[in-house]
Amino acid sequence: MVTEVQLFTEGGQTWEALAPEITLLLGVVMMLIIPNLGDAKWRIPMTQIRLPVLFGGKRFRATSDPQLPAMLAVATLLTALWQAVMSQSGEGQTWYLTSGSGAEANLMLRVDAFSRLMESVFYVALLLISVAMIDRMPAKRGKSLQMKQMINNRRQADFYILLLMSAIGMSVVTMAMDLFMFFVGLEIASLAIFVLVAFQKETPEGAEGGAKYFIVGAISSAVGLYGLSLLYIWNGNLQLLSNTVTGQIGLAEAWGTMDGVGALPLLGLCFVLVGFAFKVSAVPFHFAAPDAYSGASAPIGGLLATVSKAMGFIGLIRVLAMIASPEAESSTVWMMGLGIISLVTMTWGNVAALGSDNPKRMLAYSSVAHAGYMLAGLTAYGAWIGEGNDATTGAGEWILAAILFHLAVLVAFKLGAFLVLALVELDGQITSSKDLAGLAKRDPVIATAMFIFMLSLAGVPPLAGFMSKFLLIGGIVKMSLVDAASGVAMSDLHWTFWLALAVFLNSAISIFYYLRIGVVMFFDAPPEDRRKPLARAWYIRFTIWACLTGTLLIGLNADFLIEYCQTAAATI
Amino acid sequence: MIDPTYAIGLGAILFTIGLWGAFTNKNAIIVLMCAELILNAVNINFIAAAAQYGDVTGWVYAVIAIAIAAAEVAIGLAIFLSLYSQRETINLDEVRLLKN
Repeated sequence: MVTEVQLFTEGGQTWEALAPEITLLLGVVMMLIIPNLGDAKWRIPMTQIRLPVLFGGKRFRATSDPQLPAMLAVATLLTALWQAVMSQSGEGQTWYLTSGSGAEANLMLRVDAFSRLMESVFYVALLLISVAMIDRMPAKRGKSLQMKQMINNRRQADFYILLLMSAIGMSVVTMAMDLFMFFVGLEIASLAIFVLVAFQKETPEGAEGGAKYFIVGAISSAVGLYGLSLLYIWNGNLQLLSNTVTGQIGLAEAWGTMDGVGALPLLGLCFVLVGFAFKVSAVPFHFAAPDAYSGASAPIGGLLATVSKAMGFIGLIRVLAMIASPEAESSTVWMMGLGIISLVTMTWGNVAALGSDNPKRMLAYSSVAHAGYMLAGLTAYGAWIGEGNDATTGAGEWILAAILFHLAVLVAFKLGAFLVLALVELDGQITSSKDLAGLAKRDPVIATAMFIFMLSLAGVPPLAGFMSKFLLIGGIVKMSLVDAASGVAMSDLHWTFWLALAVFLNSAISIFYYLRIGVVMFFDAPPEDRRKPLARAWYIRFTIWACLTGTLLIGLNADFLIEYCQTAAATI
Repeated sequence: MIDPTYAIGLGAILFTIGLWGAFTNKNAIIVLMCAELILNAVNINFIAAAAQYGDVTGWVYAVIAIAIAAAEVAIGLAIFLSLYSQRETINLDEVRLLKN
């Protein structure tokens, strides 16, 4: 069911369409108010009468509970997740949200199966992170608190406000149909994430990782915005789709119908791609990623590797649908360029991961490699559109669904691996693989979970990671066979076939460094200072089990998720 | 009215200076200032194009871009301050604790 809504008008369905976002915003406001409620009174001037204002003063016992912000965040995210899923159950609702009406209408947001799927993925990831952080920032009350615990109690609210703000930005990213709107959402999310990366400011690593990530991020997003302004000069609007009522020509159509290649749109698009490439940490914009992952606390590293990456990929998908149109003369050149970047990215990520001893950095490099795999899929998707095929049928739909599926299941095993590191990190910062040595003796269950996450990252059946890589490679091969009329001869294959081969070979290389973690955990003796059993942090353990269940179940039976991903891919 | 081409040319010059400065300077604050220069170039471009097309959205974009730039400075300075209190330096060449 398709409904057109003018934003923030009476009688419109704005509140209904944006229910999860409104919930998140309410959550932020509640987070600002509720932990500050206290017994403060205000004296009416010239009298002795004191009116209770309830804001400030000595806080009540319930509102000063250090675990309260975490509970509020979990409740908010759960509600938003429920609303996002419910709006697509049954026949599924689609809303077109416009600013202005009639001849001045600009399509700003589109709520559909795609945006709701990505929102659900983001909310689930943030939910796991918020639960895990209860143990990472130990929230206690009482008189005998150490200085660090007292600081942490104060900072719980800050942390969860930032997390919810980033969730709002991510929701905007999934829905935006105007490129500037997209960038605003990206900025809301990234500004919050910059602070989250630098959140451990007492440790030298945290401050350094945050500063490096911020500098690279600020410059790349500024360059991306400059690219947007060039596109605006060129086209006069930043709408992705053309509007038949107002006669506005969207970027996609303008790109497809332009004569030759103008310098202005070309430069603009290159700069916009720089902004997205930083988010997905593609080579050559990957330099800050390992520092940021290892400087930030492990759950935030997981956020960077899953959610932040997915945002960049949504941007790439949107822009790709624009430049890959078959009418554009240059689309093959673009796809070749993207293919080379994906090849370099996955190979570089794997080689660097082979030479890295710090588990957090290893996971960072492996997420660079995973970005390369997904870029290979995107290249094949672009080539499919460029051949003049309908984007929502055949190989195009398959590949796009595979990318969405991969982004979704990454939350299960990539975030799971980071959560295991978060649990180990409670005994002190992880700096080398020695810190994981003998984990199987210290805690067999957690070590087994970590091993399963590693196998899933490597793509071993029957785990979720295998399913996603299988779909991705299958999609690319299906695309490369598009020209082969009958029988398979090497000369008939589209060049994207070599990308499928590269993904396959790179996965084979990656098994080595993933298994090395397993060897260290099961066969090496634990170091002197890490002999005791792991901390009994039930919240983190619960999230690890949740991730483990997801990895196993999706690996065994992925039909429902694949079906959902295909529905989402069809609406793009 | 000034020809929008001049404004766009000024934007391009500002962008080049900003990008060049961001790559050559080692002081974190100066790098932040260079990022701000790029964002100013963005604003000039938006406003010039809005004037040329007679389109209000360009001005709206510029105002929102200013807000984004302000938020970015606030966050950047806070992060650099926490870095300085750890290391007594914000020279990016001297900050290299994190490696393999």
